[in-house]
Amino acid sequence: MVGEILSGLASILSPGPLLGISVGVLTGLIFGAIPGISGIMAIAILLPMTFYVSPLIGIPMLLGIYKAGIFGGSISAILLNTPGAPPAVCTAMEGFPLTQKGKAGKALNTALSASVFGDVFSNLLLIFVAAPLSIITLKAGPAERFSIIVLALTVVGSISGPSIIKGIICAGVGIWLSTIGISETTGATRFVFGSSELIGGISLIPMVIGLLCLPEVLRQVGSVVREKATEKLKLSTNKDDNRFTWAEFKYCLSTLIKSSFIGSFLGALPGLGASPAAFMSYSEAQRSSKKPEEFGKGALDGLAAPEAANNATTGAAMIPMLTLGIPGDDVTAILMGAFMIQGITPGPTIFYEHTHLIYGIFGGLLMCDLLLFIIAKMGFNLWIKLSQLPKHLIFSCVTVFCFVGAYSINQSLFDIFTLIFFAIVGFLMNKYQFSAGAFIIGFILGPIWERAFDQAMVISNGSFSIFFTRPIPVVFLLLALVSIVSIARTRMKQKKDAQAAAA
Amino acid sequence: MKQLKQMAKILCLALIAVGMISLPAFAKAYPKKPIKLIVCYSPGGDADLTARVWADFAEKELGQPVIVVNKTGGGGVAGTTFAAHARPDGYTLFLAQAGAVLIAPQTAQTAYDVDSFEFVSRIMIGNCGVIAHKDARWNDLGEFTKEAKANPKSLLYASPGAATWLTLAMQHYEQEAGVKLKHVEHQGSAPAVTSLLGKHTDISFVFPQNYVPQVKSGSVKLLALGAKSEKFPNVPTFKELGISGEFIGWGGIAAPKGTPKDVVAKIAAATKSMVKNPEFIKALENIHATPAYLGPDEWPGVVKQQYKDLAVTIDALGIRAK
Repeated sequence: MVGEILSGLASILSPGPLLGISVGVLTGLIFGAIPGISGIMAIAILLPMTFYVSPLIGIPMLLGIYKAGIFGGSISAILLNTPGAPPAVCTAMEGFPLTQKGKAGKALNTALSASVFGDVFSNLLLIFVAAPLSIITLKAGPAERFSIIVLALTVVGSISGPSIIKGIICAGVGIWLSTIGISETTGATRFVFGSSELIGGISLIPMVIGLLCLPEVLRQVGSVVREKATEKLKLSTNKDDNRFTWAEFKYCLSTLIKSSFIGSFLGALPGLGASPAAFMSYSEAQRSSKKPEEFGKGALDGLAAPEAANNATTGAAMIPMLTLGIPGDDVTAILMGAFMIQGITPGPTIFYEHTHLIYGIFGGLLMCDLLLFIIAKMGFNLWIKLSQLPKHLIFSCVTVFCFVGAYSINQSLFDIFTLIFFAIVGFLMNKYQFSAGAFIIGFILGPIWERAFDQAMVISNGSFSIFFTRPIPVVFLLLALVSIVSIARTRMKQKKDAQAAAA
Repeated sequence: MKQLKQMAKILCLALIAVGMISLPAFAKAYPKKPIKLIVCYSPGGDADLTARVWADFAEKELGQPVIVVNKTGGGGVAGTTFAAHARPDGYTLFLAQAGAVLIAPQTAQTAYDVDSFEFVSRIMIGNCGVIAHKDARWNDLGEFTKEAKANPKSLLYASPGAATWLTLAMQHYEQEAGVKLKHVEHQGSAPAVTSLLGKHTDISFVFPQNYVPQVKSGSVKLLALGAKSEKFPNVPTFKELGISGEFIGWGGIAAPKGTPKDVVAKIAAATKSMVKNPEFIKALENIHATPAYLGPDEWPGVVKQQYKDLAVTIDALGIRAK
């Protein structure tokens, strides 16, 4: 058995698997970095290719895309302020101000180091404690999930900008819009107003691209019309402004560890995904930061937190798939398909039936991290150069990619209308300081919250006591309370400081 | 070496594909260009995998690439609507399953109906099964039914979604057996099985893809199956337990209404020769499905009969769309 494990780990070091991972990482980086296009599209496109190669090449390749795609999203978020995926919203909030200060190199390096840190952390968890961790997956019943989402929703307080009322309104509208379409619980159609297109609900990806990428394009168009057409991205020549220093790493270390924990924990819960992990760790980083006033202006710990957390979900998301045979999210569902087509059924038996392969894939996970670090770092200069091109070129391309990305997800024209509608909504939200992040978190968490609530009510025969009589839900509800109180206190303090400064 | 061989294999396949496109002999009859196969569920699921296996072998039979396109959303309604309204020329096909084609038009206001399709050929069936946690006190569905009868509305059924075929089949079982279960709805079979493994619910009814690995590892037990299985000879079928009805899932190729007869015949012939190919049978076995061909003459009747049967259940539940 030990021999099998070691030879499995070593088997990744042959040319085929290494080439597969490199191709995967590169594809993921490019697809992730282009606003509007995402890594999951690349995975779906390249899935059929894996049918013809050995699983030791095909599956690490898909994993490379998955991990690199999640990091790639932060490149455009940092350089252009166009987060292509919801987890990158927080990255843009801290990374883009750094870019504006000429510290694009520092922002990119911090994000990359944090991503790789979180990724390695959760891969090691997967390799060494997968079986015990699968208990998280099993113990999380409806009441537990409901209370975790209550806690996750408190992040609205941290990301909603100056007015918390506006943030709550955004999150509420997000939850409401997520109910459009067929309800899974009752099978009834809700809020479709007779439209057959709306039966499918509002698609997340076109909405997100519309809310997050296109408003920046519109803002740029506005600034060109006014004056600064020729303004280029500034770059600091100071060497320390272009890297992530040891001192900064030590400053961020506790945030990195905490965020990796949050990411790994949420990753092991099927159905939640990377976005809540990124938002929750950002909120926690802000709460516990030594310099909370820096947040929104380029705080390094605020940048590191969501990056570590969203990559930490990737390793953990494989835990339910490999130990229980249950895919936790859309990407692991595709991976599971890739396994099955090869005649390998993920599940508890895979560890002794295919020991060699599984440890080969584990080796591949760590190799993905190493290659992600190297390949991404080599590309930074290229991305920075690209982002220094004339703005009309960059943002015309961004616009095209946004439309292509929104259309290609379901090949649906209705998704293009969704994109345009939410581009206008997003532009107005920016203008009147409503938070698109709060809206999206509501939209993503709403259906999961509703389902958990419905399930809990069926089990408890309609009694709310189910949330207060079990230990885990009570702990999470108390944590939510702590989070609310501390956010309220920080906000009051900020207000007082601002008034003192004004007086 | 093995990898080199595989690469050479891919290269050969690519060359063959290119060669076939350019061969003039194929230029006259259908198919003249690549065919799109619409799947209304996301990549990686049983519908998607069935479609990809079929596409792979259809390319060899028909001499044109078959491209699987996932159009997801609304529990399959979005992709099904698209396929129903596509040009009926045989270049847009659809992987049909009961949920989106037979149930959604009855429980939601969809822009298509069961009559919007030509049912070309059934490819496979899935022998669905009732499962319970390995520690459960019932060893077969008969024992479960007994307890459920004695305690109405106390046992929990983990449903993969209210308007899915699996849940309607279970509703039909409840009506037949005279029991009432509490339905805990999930978003698909995977979360339903998870909640069962976590002992949050008592039983579930799922496709082989979802139960085979769990049964093999011993974490769940099979209480009943849709049809007798060689792999699980001791598990009773619904029929053996005195419950009539259809408890087998299926997947097949459909085309938009009005697709020419000769095109339908050609696709059906391709599928018919496919299901005899041992490689195809092996590929379907990998995804825990059983090849089961029904042609354009007999399959539409079977589908329409099931549509009527489901209508009875839907009306009894009062979930028909107004």
